[in-house]
This record gives sequence, C-alpha cells and structure tokens, in this order.
Amino acid sequence: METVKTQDIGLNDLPWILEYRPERCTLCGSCTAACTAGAIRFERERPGNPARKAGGEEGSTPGPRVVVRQSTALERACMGCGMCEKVCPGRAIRPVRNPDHRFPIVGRAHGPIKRGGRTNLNVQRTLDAIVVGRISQMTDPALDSERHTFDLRAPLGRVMLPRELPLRVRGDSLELEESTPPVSWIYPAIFSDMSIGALSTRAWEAIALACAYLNEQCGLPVRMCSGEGGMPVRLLESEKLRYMILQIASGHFGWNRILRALPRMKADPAGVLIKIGQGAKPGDGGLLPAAKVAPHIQAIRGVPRATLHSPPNHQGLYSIEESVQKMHLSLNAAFGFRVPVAIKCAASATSVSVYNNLLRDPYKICGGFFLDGIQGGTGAANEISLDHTGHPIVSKLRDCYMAAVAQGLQGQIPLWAGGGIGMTGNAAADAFKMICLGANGVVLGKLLIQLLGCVGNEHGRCNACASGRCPTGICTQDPRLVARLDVDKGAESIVNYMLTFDSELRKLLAPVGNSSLPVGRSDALVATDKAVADKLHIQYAC
Amino acid sequence: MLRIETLHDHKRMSTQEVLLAIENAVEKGETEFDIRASGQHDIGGPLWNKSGGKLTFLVSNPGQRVGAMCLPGTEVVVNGPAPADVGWLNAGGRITVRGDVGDTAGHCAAAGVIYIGGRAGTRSGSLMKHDPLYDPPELWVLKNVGSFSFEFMGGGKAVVCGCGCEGLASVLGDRPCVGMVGGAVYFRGPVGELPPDVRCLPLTAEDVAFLDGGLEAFLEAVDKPRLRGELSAWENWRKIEPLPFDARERETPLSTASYRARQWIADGIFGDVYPDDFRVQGLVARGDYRLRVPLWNNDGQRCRDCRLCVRACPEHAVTRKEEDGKAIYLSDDARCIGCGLCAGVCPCAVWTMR
Amino acid sequence: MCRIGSIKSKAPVAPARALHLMLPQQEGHDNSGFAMVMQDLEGAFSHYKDKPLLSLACTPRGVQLVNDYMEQKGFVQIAQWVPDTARLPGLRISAMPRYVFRNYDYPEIYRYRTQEEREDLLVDTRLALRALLEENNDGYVYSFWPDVLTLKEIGDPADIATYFRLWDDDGRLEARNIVVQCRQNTNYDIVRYAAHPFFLQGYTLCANGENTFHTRNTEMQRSLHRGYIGFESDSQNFLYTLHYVLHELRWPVQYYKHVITPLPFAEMARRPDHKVLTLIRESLAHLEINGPNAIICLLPNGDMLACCDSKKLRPMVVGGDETTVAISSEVCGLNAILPDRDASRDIYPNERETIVINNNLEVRRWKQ
Repeated sequence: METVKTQDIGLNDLPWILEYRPERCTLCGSCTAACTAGAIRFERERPGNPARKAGGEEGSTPGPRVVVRQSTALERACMGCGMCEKVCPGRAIRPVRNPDHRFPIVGRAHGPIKRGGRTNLNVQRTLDAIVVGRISQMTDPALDSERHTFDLRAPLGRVMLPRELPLRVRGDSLELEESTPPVSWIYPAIFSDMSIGALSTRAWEAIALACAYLNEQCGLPVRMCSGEGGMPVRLLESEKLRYMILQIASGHFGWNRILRALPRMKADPAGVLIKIGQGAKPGDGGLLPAAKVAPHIQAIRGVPRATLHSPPNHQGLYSIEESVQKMHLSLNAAFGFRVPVAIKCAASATSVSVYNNLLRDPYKICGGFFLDGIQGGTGAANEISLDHTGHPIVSKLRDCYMAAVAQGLQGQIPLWAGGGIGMTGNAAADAFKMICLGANGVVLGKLLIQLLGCVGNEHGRCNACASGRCPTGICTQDPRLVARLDVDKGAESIVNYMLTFDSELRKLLAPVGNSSLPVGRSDALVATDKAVADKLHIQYAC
Repeated sequence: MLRIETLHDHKRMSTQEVLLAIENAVEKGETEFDIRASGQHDIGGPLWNKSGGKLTFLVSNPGQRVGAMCLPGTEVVVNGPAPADVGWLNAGGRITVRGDVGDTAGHCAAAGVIYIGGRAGTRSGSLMKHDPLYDPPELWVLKNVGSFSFEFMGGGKAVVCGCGCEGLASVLGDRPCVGMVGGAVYFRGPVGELPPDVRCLPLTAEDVAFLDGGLEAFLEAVDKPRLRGELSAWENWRKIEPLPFDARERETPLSTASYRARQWIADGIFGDVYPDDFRVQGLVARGDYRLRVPLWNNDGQRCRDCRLCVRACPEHAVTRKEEDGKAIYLSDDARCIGCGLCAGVCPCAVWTMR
Repeated sequence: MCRIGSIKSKAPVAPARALHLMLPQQEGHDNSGFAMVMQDLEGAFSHYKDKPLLSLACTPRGVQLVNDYMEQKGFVQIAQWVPDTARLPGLRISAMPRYVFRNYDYPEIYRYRTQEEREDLLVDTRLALRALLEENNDGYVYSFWPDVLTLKEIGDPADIATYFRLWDDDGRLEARNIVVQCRQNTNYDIVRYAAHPFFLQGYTLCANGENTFHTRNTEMQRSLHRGYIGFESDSQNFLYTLHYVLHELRWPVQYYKHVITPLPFAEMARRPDHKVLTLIRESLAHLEINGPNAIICLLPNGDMLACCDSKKLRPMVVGGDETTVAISSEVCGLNAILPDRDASRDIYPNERETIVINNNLEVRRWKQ
C-alpha cells in the first residue's frame, strides 16, 4: 500500500467531490465514457470487502468488486459539469460542491489558474434591485402587449445631431443633400462576440443559424458579432453576411480572409466592431489555448498550433484619438463608408472619458460604444482577471449616458451594454432596465451558449472552456466533443428564447405605456436599494 | 314631457344635477324627456319605468356616454353630433344620434341598437359582446368609422354603410378589427389591411336578410329614408368575421433543421475547413467518438486469461480468441464505449486506456 | 384629463366665446385652473400690435422688480391694461395680487437691430424676469411678445372668468386667435407655470395628455435652447419640440408630427422619403413622445395646428363656418359656440393627421 502524506492532494482538496453509491451502480460504464475531464475511472475495490460479481452472468464465479473512483490529480479534477449524473441510469453518481476545497491554493502550483466562464466573485445583481415602478394606469394608459404594435428597434451607427443633418427645405419638404453615416435599426439585442476558436464550429454555426432564422423566419433583425477569430469564408460570401458584425481585435485574427473575400461579398456586413477590451478580463488580451487551436482554427486565423494571445492593446494605437483615426477610419473606408463601425471597451472607471472622447468624433465615423461589464463571459482567461478586474456595467452605462445627456449628445453614438445580461435567465428584464437607464440595446453572450447546453455558471461549475474539454461540445475543438452538439436543436433553443425575450420585452413596455424603446426613461424605474437609487439617479422605493 | 334647460347664460347644470333631475322625474312616472344639454354625461341610462312604460329622451348637445348602460324600453335620440362613448355598455336601449359621434361608440355594447347618422370615431365598436340570453347588439353607422375600429370585438353586429365616403381608403379606418374574436362587421366600400385572424367574405342570404330587415328602421331613425335603394345593392357589401377559434392555429414554424437544410449555406459555413456531417453523438459514444480507447497489450505476458474483462464489459465489446494456443483479447471499436471497465477490472494491468 | 380648445376667427372674438367653448366640457376636468393665450389682439391693445406685450401675475414687489429691470434694460412702457377684477365673495380662485399687461417699446439700441435679434432679446428678457420673480416667489411672467397676451390662474374657470369679468364682452379684450385650457390638475401642488397653454417666441401650445417620454424629452431639450426651461408639465416638451423643429431647425411644418410621433420603422421603409424620415427619427429620437395626447398649436404667423398621438387616445374635433373655426376636445364645445355650422364637415383628426388652419380659415390636412 502506498504511503499517503499530508501534502498529497486528496479528494477534499478539490472543488467537486463525486458522490458515488456503488449499490446503485450497474457498472454500465456510461459515466466514465462521458467524462471529459477524465476525473473518474473504474478500479478494483480493495480486498476485505464483501465479494461482488463484476457484471458477469448469473451463476458464474463472483468476480472482484469494481467501483468508480475519482482521480485526485489536479489536471483531472472533477469540474462539476454533471455529465456522469446525466448519463447514469441508476442515479449512482453525481458531483457535489466541496465547501472545504483548497483549489485556489493548490491549483496555482503551475502558474495562474486559467478558465472560462465569468467572474465567480462579483456576481452581485444590481438589476435585481431595480423594478419597473412607474406603471401607466389612469391617464397614460398601458398598452396591450399582444395586440399593439411595438417598434423594438435600436440604432447601430453614427447618429447625427439634427442641426448637422444635410437636409434642405424644398417647398413643404426636406430633401437629403448628401450622404450621411450609415445607421441600421436592428433588434435591441446583439449576439455577442464569441470567436471561432473559443466556440466550436458547431456552436458558432448554431448561433449564426439562429440569428439568420430570427431574421428570415421571425422578422427579428438580430445581429451577431463574429468575435475576433475571423469569419467562415462561406458566410462571408453569402447573403447572410448582412446579419454579421465583424470584429477586429488586437490580434486581427482572420482579417486576411475577410479582406480577401471583399470582392466576392454579396452583401455588406451589419457592422464592424473594434474590440479594445473585454469586460471579463479588461486590460488583458484575447487568449486561445493551444488545446483549441485545431487545424481549421489555424487556417482561419493564419497561425500555427500554439497558444494564441492577442495583445492587450491594438499595436500602433497611441491614444483614443488615434484609435478613432486609424481603426475607425480604415474600417469605415474598407466597406466604402456604408457599414457602421463601433467600438467595444471593457467598462472601467475611465469609460466616461473614453465615451466623451468618442462623442467628439469630428468625422462621424464612430457608430456605437459597446460597454462590457465585469460579469461578461470569456472562453479563456486567467482567473485572477476574471474574478478581480473589471467594472460593473449598470452604473457605468448610466454614467456614460448621463455624460452624453450633459452635453446634449445622447443617442449620437449608440450605447450597447453587455456583461451579465441574462445572468439569471431573465434577459428581457435586464435589457429593459438597461435601456431605461440609457442603453440603446444589450449584448448577449454567455446566455447563448447556456441555451446551447453549456452547464457552466458563476458558482464555479464547469468553466472548462479553456481546457478543450468542454463536455457539451460548445467551447472545444475536439471533434469527438463537437459532435455532441446538435446544431439544429441548439439554434432552436436560441430562437425560442429570443421569441420569448421579444414577448417579455413587450410585457414590460406595455405597462409603462411605450410602444418604442424607452431609452433613458429612468423615470420608469425605481430601486429598492437606496445606494443603487442614488448612484443611478432613479427613485428609491421601499 | 319634461324639458330640462341645462344652461342659463353661463350657469350650467352639472352632470350630477341633470341626472338627478331625470332620475327624480322617472321615479315620479315621467316617461318623456327633452334634454337641452350642454355637454352633460351619461344621459339616458340606466333607467326604467316602474310600470314597464317606454322612456324617451330627446337630447341636444350631450356630453360623453349618451345612452350609456341603457336598458330595454329606453329610447334616446340625439339631434346633432355627440362626443365619445355613445351607447357604452348598451344593455338594450335604442340610441340614435343624427350626426357624427366621437371615439369608442358602442364600446362594450351587449344588447340593443345604436344608430349613428354620420361618422363614428376611433375604436368604434370595440369590445362589443353578445350575451346568449339576449339578442345580439347592433351598431349601425351611416358613413364610416375611425381607426382601430372593432378592436377586440367579441360579438354582435356592426353595419358600416359607407355613405358619402367616396375617395376614402377605408370605411373602417386604419388597422380595424385587431383582436376581433366574435360577431360580424358588415360594410360597404373599401377597407384597409386586415389582421390575419379575421376574414373578409361576401354576404350570405342570411346576412342579406338581416341587413334588409334592419335597414329601413335605421334609415328612418337617422332620417335618411331616401338612401334605401342605394344601400340595398347587396353586391356592394361585404362582411368581416373572425376566423373560428380552431382555424386560428398558427402555421407550424419551419424547424431549424429544415431551415438549415433549405435556406442555410449548403454543408455548413465551415464545410471548407471543417467538414461536418452534423450527426449528433451521445455523451456515451462509440468508435472514433470515444474519449478513451482500451488497448490490450500482453507483451509482458502478464495476462492470466481470467476473462474478467470479457465478463465485465457492459457492451460485450471484449472478445477472447485463441491464436497459436494463446489467448488474445480484443475490443470491438464498434461496440466499445471507452468506459475503461476492462482496464478497471483487469488484475494484471494488461488493459490500459489511451 | 384636461380640456382644451381654440378659436380662430376672421373677426375678433372675446374670451367669453372661448369660455362658452369650454363650458360644456366641464366634466372633463377638475376645475382646478384656467389659462388662455390670445394672439392678433384688438381692443385695448389694437394700437400696439408691433410692441411686445408683457403678461404678468405678481406681487406688488414683483411689479417693482419688473419696473426696475425693464427700465434698466431700456424698455419703455407705452401702454398698460390692468384688469378691473371683480373681487366677489365665494369665488374659487387663487388670485395673485397684481395682473399686469403692458406694451413696451424696444430699447433704443434695438431700433436698427434685426428681427431675429429682437426676438432673442424678448425671450432673454422674459427668462430674466422669470428668474428675478422666482427668487422670492414674487410672481409669474407668462409671455413677452408683440400681440400676444397670456392669462392663467388657479381655480374654477367660471369663477376665474367672473373675477376678470371675462363673461361680459366690453370690447377691451379681443383677439382673432385664442387658445384655451381648463385644467385637470395631476399634481398635489398647482404650479402656474405648469398650466397650458405654453408660450415661447411666438409659439403657443396647449395639450391634453400625458407624455411618458417626459424625462427623456426633458433631458434632451435642456441642452437645445436656453428657453427650454421649467418642464413643470410634461406637455412643455411638445412646445419646445415645436419651437425646435420650426424655429430652430426651420423645417417645414409637416415634420413636427414626424418628430413627435414617428412612423413605425416598417412603414417608414415603404415610403419614398424613408431616408429623410429615418434620419429625423434617428437624430431626434429623444424628442419622440409616447402616451395619449391631443395638441393644439398656434404659430407666429397665426396658423393654428392640431394633431394627436399615434394611437389616438384623446378626443379632438375641428369645426367652423365662414368666419370662425374652433378646435375642441369634445364636439359639445363646438355645438355651444357654432351651433349653426355644417357639422357634417367637422374634422376628427386621425392619429396620423395634422390639421393646419391659416388666417383665411383655409384648412389643410394631411396624413404623415
């Protein structure tokens, strides 16, 4: 027998312990076959226990007793995804959260802990301390959410001040004298930028499919942002490119193929999003672990198999002004100034300055400010960034809006807010409140992969996105796991959710008596938390 | 006959004063009223004569809700136009307005008849109902109605004659019949876009009989008997009915799978870099989709040929063969799920998982 | 809900006519206030039509403050009408101590200034007086504009009329345009500035409704013009947007409706002018209104304009004869003052319509 020493890692050091009931186990092998972490395997029970046959036929000699054992190896630590529980026919096994675990201590032996998901520490829900408190009842009647027509559209693109519009009076009418920056009015929820690479081909395709379906079959002009992992050439060359917002981040991955496809594009993309930072890991660049850099990712991104880092900064950008100049100008020019170009930053104590800088935008080329809060998700990051850096989105969005109000520039550069929208599954309520606080629309990310089947959450469950061992085939490039994901079913669940989202948004618009989006209608909200009320300049109620 | 002058110079009787005066008179048996109103509300109902006699109200310049909650046996005649809510909740009265009426005329009427000798405003006929204990309510309009007409209509009969509406795009206004679930709207003239859950039909003989039977009384009431001939050209009429509840089933949406097959990019958007048959593997998979694969390696000649692996394998994937008198164990890739039971049970570590 | 009305006449009419327009609509409001703006005046003011007229309700100290300020700025008072009030017992009115209606001549230095500069001076002067009076609660200044008179008071409209002797037409107070409101108070405290009609630089507006986009309208308007202040009523937003669209942007009148109640995107997309309409909706998204409304506007050139909210949730009717056209929340008002008009020609504005009546009483109406 091996000697066990105190410093050896034991099961109780791990965040998840498998509760196993051998008397229920049929030894079918499903759990070990399904476990992507390799956390469990069959082992012979130590002698001294009552003999038990190992699945042999009746009447045969009893074999040694075999049981499912959990590995204590850190690299094979159970991640709590629960696939074993899901496949077990006898309810013999399930992961149980271990409150006494020492993983944050022992897990750092080989460098920073890397994982996916979102912050597991800052999961406060400001939005849940806000309710839609101004209900139209008497003289400003509520609308009927089923029957009345609603105009749920949000701008993407640079909106001009009314005085700057190139309109000339001719007789009783106004005529447009010259072109204006492109603005599209889209659905107020954008499918966020999760890259090809971070997501599996099937997961990415399922989201793209859902997006196109919502446009073509349901009349919801939802847009999807590519993420910074390039674009599939076939999509670039398809009419359906019109639903896609192309992202360019500091790594500029995939832009060779995007540019090469330009002459063959049948439609303009919906927009370009310059990613400066990401709420999940602000100040840190993109990260794609080598485990996920499969051949097709290498091809689309134009790099060999390696862990891919995007620099935290865009190389060659010295300042915000520079970014407006170089990135905005070049990307506007690349699509003939026909496609809105927006910018995405991680929410930060300095976001208002950034927004103010953008608002000056003398060339009218900044078509949106995407603000991403600390509760945003990621496919891979250092846990220290995920948990300890970032800025809550709600007050920062509000600050930016109020900064625009102070200058009379609200609505000029649309505000899109993301990071934790739909964290509790109630994305429509979150979206409505954010819109009332000044957002033109919201960005959904983590929620989408949860709809595809992701079981990860902000309480440390799974979060294996960085490992290549995603049990649901969503955040992996392992073809064996990718094959687990049903594209059609995944797309369908996103479609269904969005249709519900749409109904629920109306259910909130109707009682406040609005048929178009109440951007900045903070008077519709009350906070049940005084500090929240004060910070957001809304009424306190109790 | 009781005449009430409600305005003396600029001293106006309030609605309350007028209604109490009427009520007192009805109580005392008065049945005929001439109300010279100045915008007072609710004239005409709900009132009844104790001995079952008929109550008649001749009204000029009423305010809102003339004939509201009117009961059978009451007749209200307004000379000239009237504001909103004429015949609101009409429960059996006969209400005639010889002019235009404001918004929501006939709103929630469930019995009786309302005759409008001009136009009716926005949301006219909304939420009309039919109580099966009584005859259905009728709302007759000589000219046209405003937008959102017959919203949520649940029963009764509305007739829009479209007189003098030449050049009008829709005699039913914009966005009519939204949420209509019952009743019928008869109309003469053009109509705008209708919601998907109603249908526009030609008249049946029964419809013609209804209109023919009611037209004369209507035209008499609004003092336009000469229009009888013009309006009796039944080929110019149509009717709107809601689709029966069962026929309202939403068409089954295209499945995402069919959408992908028919309208998505053939073979998927990654077909060029990552060919995919889109078949879905379960969490427990075989063949190439196994996460781990058993390997039997007896180079060290440790196998005791105990056959535990054969017995343990839940998928019956492990087989034993003899070659040159030596036992060889094989795992069939097509059956094996990579669970590792063979390796787990093996006393000699001949099986390993890769 | 308030009740609103207006009269536009070729022949000058007295306020009594407007009062009779409103009288049958009494149950539509709570008798908490009365206000009117008169434009194109006759009677006492007929000789000073080009001289700015100050409409003021204040304390004696307020009068002094105004006198001092106006003198200091070089305005010369050339006429004054002080209403002979009937201080009868039992009248339900919260009267101010003084009501002052005065014509001034422009300061000497403005003799050769442009019309625009003079208009700016007038609005700046009104704003300065307002601030001055607000400091110690010394009163209210409602309008300061040539040929425009504003009277507002808290109380029962009929009693207010008695107090100012408006029921009797003595020929001293007459105008060709009158916009009037009988007030439904929706606030605990009644603020005189919150009573319609509102006035700014020749634009008068009166509304019956609720603006659920008050906050976002207000937040936008604060930075658009120095005259966009107060916001005591959510309907002030409508006036400021009217002023902004017509006076500041100088857009044709049809675009007012497009700004306050833009067409749904889907409908806009089908129109030949969809680019212009979309740009307007985009740039002025924060001036969109939501909620039920009927709106009456009086423009500097005397045009009277009427429109409703996009769901037509408030009543409104326009009717008239050869000499007079009136707008009323309810037809019983028209019946009271124009019983012999051809009622079959009354106009009930549709939710998409704008109605404009010019000084020849020609009515233009169009759908947005």
